[in-house]
Amino acid sequence: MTQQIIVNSRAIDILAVLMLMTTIVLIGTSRLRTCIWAYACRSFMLTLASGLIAYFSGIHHIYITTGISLALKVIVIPGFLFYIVKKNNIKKEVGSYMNYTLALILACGIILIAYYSTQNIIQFENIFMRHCLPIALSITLLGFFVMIIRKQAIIQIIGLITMEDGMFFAALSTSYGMPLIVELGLFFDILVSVIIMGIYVYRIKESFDGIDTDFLRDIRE
Amino acid sequence: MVEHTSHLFVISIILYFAGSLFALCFYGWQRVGNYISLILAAIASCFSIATAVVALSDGLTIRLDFTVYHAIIKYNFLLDPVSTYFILAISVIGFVAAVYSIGYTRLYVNKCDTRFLGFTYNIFLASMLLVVTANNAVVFMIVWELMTVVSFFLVIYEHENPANMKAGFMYLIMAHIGAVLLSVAFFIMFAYTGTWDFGFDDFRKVGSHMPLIYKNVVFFLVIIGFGIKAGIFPLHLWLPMAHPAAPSNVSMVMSGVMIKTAIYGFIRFYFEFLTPCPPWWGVVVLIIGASSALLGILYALTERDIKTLLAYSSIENNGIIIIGIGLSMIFKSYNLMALSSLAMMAGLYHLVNHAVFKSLLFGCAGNIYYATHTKNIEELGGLIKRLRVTAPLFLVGALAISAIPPLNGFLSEWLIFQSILNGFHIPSVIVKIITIICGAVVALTGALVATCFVKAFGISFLAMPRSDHAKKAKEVPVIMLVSMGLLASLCVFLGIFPVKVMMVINSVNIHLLNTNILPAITSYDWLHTKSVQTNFTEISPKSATVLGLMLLAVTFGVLTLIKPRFVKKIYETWTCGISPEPRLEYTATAFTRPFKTIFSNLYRPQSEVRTEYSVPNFFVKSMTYVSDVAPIFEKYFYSPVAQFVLSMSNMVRWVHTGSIHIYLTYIFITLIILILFVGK
Amino acid sequence: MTAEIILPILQILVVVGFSPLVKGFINKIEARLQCRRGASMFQPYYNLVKLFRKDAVVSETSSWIFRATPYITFISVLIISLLVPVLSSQVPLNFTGDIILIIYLFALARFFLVLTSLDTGSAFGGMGGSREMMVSSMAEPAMILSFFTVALTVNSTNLSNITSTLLNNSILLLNPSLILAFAALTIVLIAETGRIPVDNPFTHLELTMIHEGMMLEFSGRYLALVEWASSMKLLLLLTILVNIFFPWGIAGGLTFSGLIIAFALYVVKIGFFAFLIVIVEMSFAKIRLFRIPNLLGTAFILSILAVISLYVVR
Repeated sequence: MTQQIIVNSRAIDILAVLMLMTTIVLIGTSRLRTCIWAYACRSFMLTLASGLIAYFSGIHHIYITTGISLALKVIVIPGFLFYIVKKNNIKKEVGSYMNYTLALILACGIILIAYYSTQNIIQFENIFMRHCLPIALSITLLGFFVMIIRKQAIIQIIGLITMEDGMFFAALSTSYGMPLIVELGLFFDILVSVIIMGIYVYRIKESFDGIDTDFLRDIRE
Repeated sequence: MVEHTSHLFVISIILYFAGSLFALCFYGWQRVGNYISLILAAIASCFSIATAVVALSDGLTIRLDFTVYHAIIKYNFLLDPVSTYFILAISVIGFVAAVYSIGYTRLYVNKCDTRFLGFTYNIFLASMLLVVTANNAVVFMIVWELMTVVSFFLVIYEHENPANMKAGFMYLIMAHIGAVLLSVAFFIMFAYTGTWDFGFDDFRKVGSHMPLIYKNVVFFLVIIGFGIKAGIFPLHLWLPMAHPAAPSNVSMVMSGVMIKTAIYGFIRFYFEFLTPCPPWWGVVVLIIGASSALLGILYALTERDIKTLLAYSSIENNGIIIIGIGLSMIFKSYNLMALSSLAMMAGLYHLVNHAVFKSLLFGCAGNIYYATHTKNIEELGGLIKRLRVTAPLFLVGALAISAIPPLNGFLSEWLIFQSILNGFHIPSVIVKIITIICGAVVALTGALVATCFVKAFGISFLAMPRSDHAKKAKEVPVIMLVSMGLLASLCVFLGIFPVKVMMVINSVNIHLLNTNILPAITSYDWLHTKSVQTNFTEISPKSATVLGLMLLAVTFGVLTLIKPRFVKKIYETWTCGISPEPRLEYTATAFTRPFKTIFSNLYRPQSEVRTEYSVPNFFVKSMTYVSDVAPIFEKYFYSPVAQFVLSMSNMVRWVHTGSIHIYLTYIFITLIILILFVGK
Repeated sequence: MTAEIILPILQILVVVGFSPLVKGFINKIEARLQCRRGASMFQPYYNLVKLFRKDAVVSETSSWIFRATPYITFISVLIISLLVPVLSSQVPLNFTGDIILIIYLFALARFFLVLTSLDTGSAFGGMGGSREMMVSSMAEPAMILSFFTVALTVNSTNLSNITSTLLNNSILLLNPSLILAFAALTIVLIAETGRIPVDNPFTHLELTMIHEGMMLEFSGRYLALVEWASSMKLLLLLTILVNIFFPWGIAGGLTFSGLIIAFALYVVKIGFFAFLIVIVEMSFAKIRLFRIPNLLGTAFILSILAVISLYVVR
């Protein structure tokens, strides 16, 4: 019985680590399409993890969240992003304010901080799924970090939804999800924000003939 | 037994001083004076080797007290296992270097006074032996200064070259800053001894009742004071200047053993005087060691002067030794004594290994200089066909320093890795993480060392000669080769028979840390000889060597069976249709170019291409490529300090009027104040 | 006692005998996926036989280093093949050394190969050697740290002990830290063996090659030995990866039937991983030289996260 529990929690831990790896890809690559693929992969792992948690815990509403998450995060949002990229002829290389090696090292530091700051919690609170909380925190922080260091608006959308993924995963792994109505609201928020940002990318492109957020400085008086 | 051993030691010191005086006697016959002093140095080194061997095998602790009637200073010397271990290292290298010098000093005949070299060399060796045996703070500081001053004279031996004078001056200043800090450290500790002896025995009792704040102050004073001698970053500046400036036989001793006296100082202070240490001291030492190791080798990588390259690599190796010491301190402060001994063993093993292979490499660099009169590896090349014996000797050194099995560097690197792995026993998570990151640094350093020495050997010895110097090179005198051969065989011996060395270090550990880990870390392998094991694994370099030789025999046999007549046709290298020229060869700069790009944040490489055209602007007459790395430590660390000191000096300049009367007044006022102070 | 003699011999025979086949297999699959017919899977054997029959051409600028290197490279890889558990987790000679010795024996082979690249005086060789040292230096920390993660999980750096512990206690493998270490090691393996995103093993275009650049001047028996050593290196690294992270099927003891089953599963596992390498090679282009540190930096960060997560969560 305990063996089974260990295997279950380890399986979710491993999914968490894979999610972390796809997030690192987001920082390490300069290709826009790879970033979107990495996002889709991570969302898929997240869905898988939430499905597993639903199965292991037997809480039914998580199945619903899983289903919506699968539809929205794995199919709709990446599809929408690919559509924007294609429609606006966005160039494939994403600019960065920081060289990649330095960004990777800083990312490593961020993950270290996440692990270090949660060590007391995970040692006393959770007996199982010990990797989940630090990884959820790191994914949130890394999403933020991506928004800071990257130039293009589209990758900032990805940073934002990465942060949301991290939050979602934290809630899921520590307390088996938020109440259903809250989660539904969150999904709706994300969808709306992605669409708004998409329109905003389109407008920047129209006005400045490029989607670097640098151009926004020109608006300043 | 104790009596005889102490006599041996005293005889060896007397012989050293006798040798130095003899050198001065032969006024007209410089060469004879030089030879006699060097031979005496070699004999004296044999005596001190004997002292160390006898003392270490019996685990003796010998006290030598020279009671001078009513003396203020007590001339006490102590030969405990820690000291004798260092005596062994110093005198082995001293012996080899003395023999080597007999050949090498021919380079200076009729150019410089070779008697002076013999004179200072002997005092230098004796002062190092006295440094590691002094048992009194005052005596220690006296011999420490003696060592510094004598080595300063050796650095500026070729004083016609202004660069050498600058290097020597820099060395002298930095060494004295270190000495001042050490004296302050001694004085702070002295305040808590309660006696007027300045004896190390009193200092050993001080650690338990000294307030922590003063202990911390002493810790930092010591780390800077000895750190300057050890060449840790960023206090390394003198080392890559002074070691290349000195004659090669002296650089052997300086790089091989002199900078290790700083390690001796660390051990004395952190394991005897200041115990118990808080864990963070060990962490600081560990980080300093790791950063010195990495930065040292990164600078060595871009270096083109072979002796400067070796000097930077000494910084790197000292860093690795300090990593071992730091780990040992960390383990000790968490009371993990067995692991502390393991880390100490790794550090001390690397210490003797580095002494051996760095002396070998400096000696071979000396051979190159002797044969070609240049130290710039871009001007060398093809020496493997001209210096037929030096080349394999240098190769052994390069392999050993790159930690390639089965040579000795590998074993100490392996022990360092094992100690780092055992870091998981440390209770504090953050210390654990720092330890393992140091492991990554050691791994990166190891790979960079290999690159650096592939470059050093490959560019200077292989392919075609790049200059006339290299073309005309001839093999050096036999005596130099024999002494280097001795070191090369030591490299092999220390690598294949590690247990012998570990037994010696174990007696140091028993004395220092009160733990005997020898039974735990040796086991018997299939050849029924001893091999090394830790709680993680075991390793037997002997059996790896034997397996390798067996497989070589089998492979060779099979290949001969397949094709008995294997013909090698000799043609020139294919270079796309042009006949091969030295100009087409890869250079040292080009070889390390990728690293310059990767670590450009550190190097800030500056390069410039100048093109000269002939009269019609279509034909290029000549092109010059200049590339260099920016000295960021000089720029951001030393210049501000120097600026500050200069401006401070300007502020107090008005004191110096130049009038002798004013100066006498200063002295008078000081005297009055002192009298008042004492009278109160 | 007999088993203790037979197993090392068997191990050497498997590694020496099958390593060209792995290379041939990879080439063949790659050709099929590119809609070519490709050379036979056994082509590497034909090449070796041909080369062993030939005499060698030696450059006049080169020295004894050039002639010694092929043997040193070959022998160091042979020693490694005695230390790696191939068919049985109990390697009789495992007391000789651990994973650190293996890493440094690879370094020995590399050291001499790079020296040779400088020995002939051709600029292509030097270029290859310099780049090889760059790639391996960048890969070294990631490699050491990932192996450390494994070693800390099972408390041993000895490959035999690692494999048998993981075999008997497979739940240890379900450790997220090991997943990170596995990802890092995979990147390192691709870099170390000179496969596509890092180096192109098929090119002889001077400016892009790394590993092949060093071997340009070898011919005849020398070339055969060096080629063979490099394919053995590929197989050995694959074996280490496979037998650490997927130890199932490897024989625990030294029984005949156990070894047969182990061999069959070994072929399947290696085949699968070779196929994965092909997939990676097919889906990526060779990256620019100065992007390689980014890739290996990613590997390094994965490995460091592996150790840290192990330490924090333990």
